[in-house]
Amino acid sequence: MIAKRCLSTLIPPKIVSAKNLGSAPNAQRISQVVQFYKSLPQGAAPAYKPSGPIGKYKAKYFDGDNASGKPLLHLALFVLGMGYSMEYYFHLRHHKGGAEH
Amino acid sequence: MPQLVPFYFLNQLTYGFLLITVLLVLFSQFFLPRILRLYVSRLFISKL
Amino acid sequence: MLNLLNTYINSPLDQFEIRVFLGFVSPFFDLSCLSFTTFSLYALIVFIVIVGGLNLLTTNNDKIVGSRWYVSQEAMYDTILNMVKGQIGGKYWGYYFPLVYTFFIFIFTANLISMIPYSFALSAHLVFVVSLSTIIWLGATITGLYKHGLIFFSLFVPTGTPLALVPLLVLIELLSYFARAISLGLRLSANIIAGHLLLLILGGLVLSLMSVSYIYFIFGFIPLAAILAILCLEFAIAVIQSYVWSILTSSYLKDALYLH
Repeated sequence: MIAKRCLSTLIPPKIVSAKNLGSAPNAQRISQVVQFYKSLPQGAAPAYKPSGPIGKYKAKYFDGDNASGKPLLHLALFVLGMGYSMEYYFHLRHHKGGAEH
Repeated sequence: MPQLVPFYFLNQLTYGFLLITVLLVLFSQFFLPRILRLYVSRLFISKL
Repeated sequence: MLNLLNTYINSPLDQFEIRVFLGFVSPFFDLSCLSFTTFSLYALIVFIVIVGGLNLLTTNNDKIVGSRWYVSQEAMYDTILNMVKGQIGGKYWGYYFPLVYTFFIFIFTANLISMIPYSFALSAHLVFVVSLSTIIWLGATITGLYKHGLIFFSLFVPTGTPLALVPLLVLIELLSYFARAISLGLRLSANIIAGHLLLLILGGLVLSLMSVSYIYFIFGFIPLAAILAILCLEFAIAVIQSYVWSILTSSYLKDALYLH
């Protein structure tokens, strides 16, 4: 996909044909296009800075090449722990040592 | 069956339909158009 | 021996029990419908997982190439999009895509979270699921009546029926149309209830077998392997049922929108 994206697709088609450049009705448009392309940010894209605990978690497990299945494991462990502690609180502590009620 | 205790019927329906409604609004307003815009932008930089 | 681990469970049905964590009391209104219960807690977890985990965290900082997490979202989007397009088709399928997608992702996530041990199955709660399916059916019927008026009732006469058979066929088709309201929800709910009950009953049996003596503990791994196979089947059922729900919802919508 990257290889196909050559320079001609990035330049608006009206600029490519040189003889239309100077003509009066297009001068306004051309200056607008030039203004637009000047206002675009230049250089490499700024690196993303993770902030906060959720941002750091996202950067560690979700973004780009760091994406992995570990969040699923964390979710499973969280739900398991919560479910077991609820079960313990409501039921199991009344049956310690195998006692029936 | 414990899920047929009538005391909790309205509770289940309230929270269940609240969840479905909020999800429907979020998906139709934000998340699905986002995927669509991503596809459109991919089309723009590669084919058009 | 194993009772020391506090793995004691009273009845296999206890896993569906709802408990109140936070109740609201007012002398004027019955606020029990707003109390925060197990159901609400797991609804909240499903909400956080869908919105936060599957959509907000996976955006890969708005890059044009998504991360591996976003590929999963795109795959689900494409699957449901093609399914809705194939099932409903015509002019209107796009209007109903977010609805079907919401149902799919909700049931998918709720079913998979319920497969975690000591968790809680939202879709095993018959009242909620059957209400949902009845409302879908009612909405589809109202849509059909609004769009087609009385011609909507031609849905109950299959094309090419001999005139003598029409009363009988209308009766049968009417019955099957009304049964859709219940059967859609019952299919999902019964599958999930049966799966969870089966796993818990078999697990309890194997647990008591393995706690007899060390010989039984070693031989108990054979039925444990069978339970593991059933567990894999339950995961498949959890995924398939959410797909079946969305495919049936779109086929009911198609019937109401285009009449055959």
